[in-house]
Amino acid sequence: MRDVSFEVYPGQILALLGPNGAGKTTTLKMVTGLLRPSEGHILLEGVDVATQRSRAVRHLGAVLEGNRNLHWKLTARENLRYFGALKGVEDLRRRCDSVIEQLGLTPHLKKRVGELSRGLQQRVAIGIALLGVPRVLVLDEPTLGLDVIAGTDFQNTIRSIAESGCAIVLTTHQMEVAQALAQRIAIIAGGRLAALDSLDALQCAYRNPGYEVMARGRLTPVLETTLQTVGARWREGAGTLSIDLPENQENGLYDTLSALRTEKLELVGVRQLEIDLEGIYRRIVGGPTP
Amino acid sequence: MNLAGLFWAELRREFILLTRYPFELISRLMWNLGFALMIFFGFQSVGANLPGFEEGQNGRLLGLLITYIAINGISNGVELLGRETQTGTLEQAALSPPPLVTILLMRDLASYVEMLARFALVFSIAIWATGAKFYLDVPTLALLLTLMYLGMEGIGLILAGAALIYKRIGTLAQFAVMLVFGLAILPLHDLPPWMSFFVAHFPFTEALLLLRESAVRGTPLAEMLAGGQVLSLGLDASLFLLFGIAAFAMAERKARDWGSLNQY
Repeated sequence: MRDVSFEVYPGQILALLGPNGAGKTTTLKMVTGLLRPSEGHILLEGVDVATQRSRAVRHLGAVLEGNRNLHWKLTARENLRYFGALKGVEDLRRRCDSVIEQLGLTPHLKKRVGELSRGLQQRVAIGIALLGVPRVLVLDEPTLGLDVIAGTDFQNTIRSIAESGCAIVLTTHQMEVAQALAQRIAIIAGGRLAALDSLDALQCAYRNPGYEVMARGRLTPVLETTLQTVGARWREGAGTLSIDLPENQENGLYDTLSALRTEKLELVGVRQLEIDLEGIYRRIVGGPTP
Repeated sequence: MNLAGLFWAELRREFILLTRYPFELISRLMWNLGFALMIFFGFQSVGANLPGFEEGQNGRLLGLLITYIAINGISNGVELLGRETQTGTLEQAALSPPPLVTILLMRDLASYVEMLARFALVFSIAIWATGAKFYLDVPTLALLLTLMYLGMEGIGLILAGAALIYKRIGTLAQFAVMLVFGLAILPLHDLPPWMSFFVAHFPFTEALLLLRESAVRGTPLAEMLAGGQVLSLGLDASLFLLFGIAAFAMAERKARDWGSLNQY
């Protein structure tokens, strides 16, 4: 990793995105003290993780390998009590009750963790991370392997944790999860921080100056020639025509509109194409557009 | 850091797992008992001329118990570490504020307490079944066994540290167990001076001799204390343990530097 620097504030969710092997998990390992950085500092509530790990991680909760971080032969409460004792959580019994209630685990307390669904196991893992009332929560691919309902449920849980004032750093390959949850997005590529900003700011910075033009009528040879000249792509529907003009083709828009007028096609609308998070990600990381 | 809290958490987990699988517990007890009786009745020639064994049948039974505990002291940490690295729970432990060495030590001690309780039961049945006669001075036995276990734990921590860095060290662990056992059964007077000094200060050897004195010959603790042998065992065991803790802490630092803590 080189030149990776970011801050996360209370109540904020930061999503770390990047291709496999880019360094997302390595970053999280450094944040949690599992890996010591060769240079630089990581401060949790002002405490250096590398030099004062024991003190720093008191402010930290982490779920790095989801259900793999649990003892499957123990129940949810037994897991919470065991790991809570390891973390030195005060008033552990009361804290366990509170976390169980917060995460809706009460109906599932009699089962061993190995018998729970993946979504519930993930909730138990989050529960362990929350036991010490952390100021920073680190989640590595928290929605991986969850079905749609469990995934949405889990997103709500993460959102409510952030609302309580906890700063959250999560990694994900699911753009919709990052888009739905994170106030700030960091994209890591090749061990470097390639982008870091809010989604709005990233959309602005990486906006697609291309346009979509919609018209009513059929494609004529003249119009086809114009569209080919400006490098547009088009789709014909039942009496309608949808034209995508590529970016950096401001003149192409005027040419297209002129051709539509000349060929007497009715203009239905023109809109600037928006770029979504996946588009931004692809532009930064590289790779074909879908 | 609340060491007592850590220890109780480990002991509680051990107890839950033990009672959750009663069939496994009964099987383990039967295996322990069966093995003890087999040694006692079947392999009488094996123990000839070995420290702790040469007192005849009683020594053999006692020697078996001590050897089992010593081997567990060495291999427990490595086994736990290997298992938890594979399941992923080691990572969760490594995220906790206490150093991994403290957690592992408390875990091993909890495991030792469970093992001691199990062996007290097995040993009682074996004594009853074989008619062996022992001087059961429980506090003295517990003290000597615990000192020996702590010494062996030191070797176990060195191996566990190696496992953190080199990952697959099963063969080395087996070799260490064999070496310890081999060193302990060597007749001291036949060894070169440097080797006999080392073997004589090996917690396992020292504990074997003292336990034989206590349980087979009925020598009181006060007499052994006055002779300085218990102090010597205590010092040697502490040395082994401290060395093991230092080695593991160093390995943990290296593993955190390399990011290999949770790799298997």
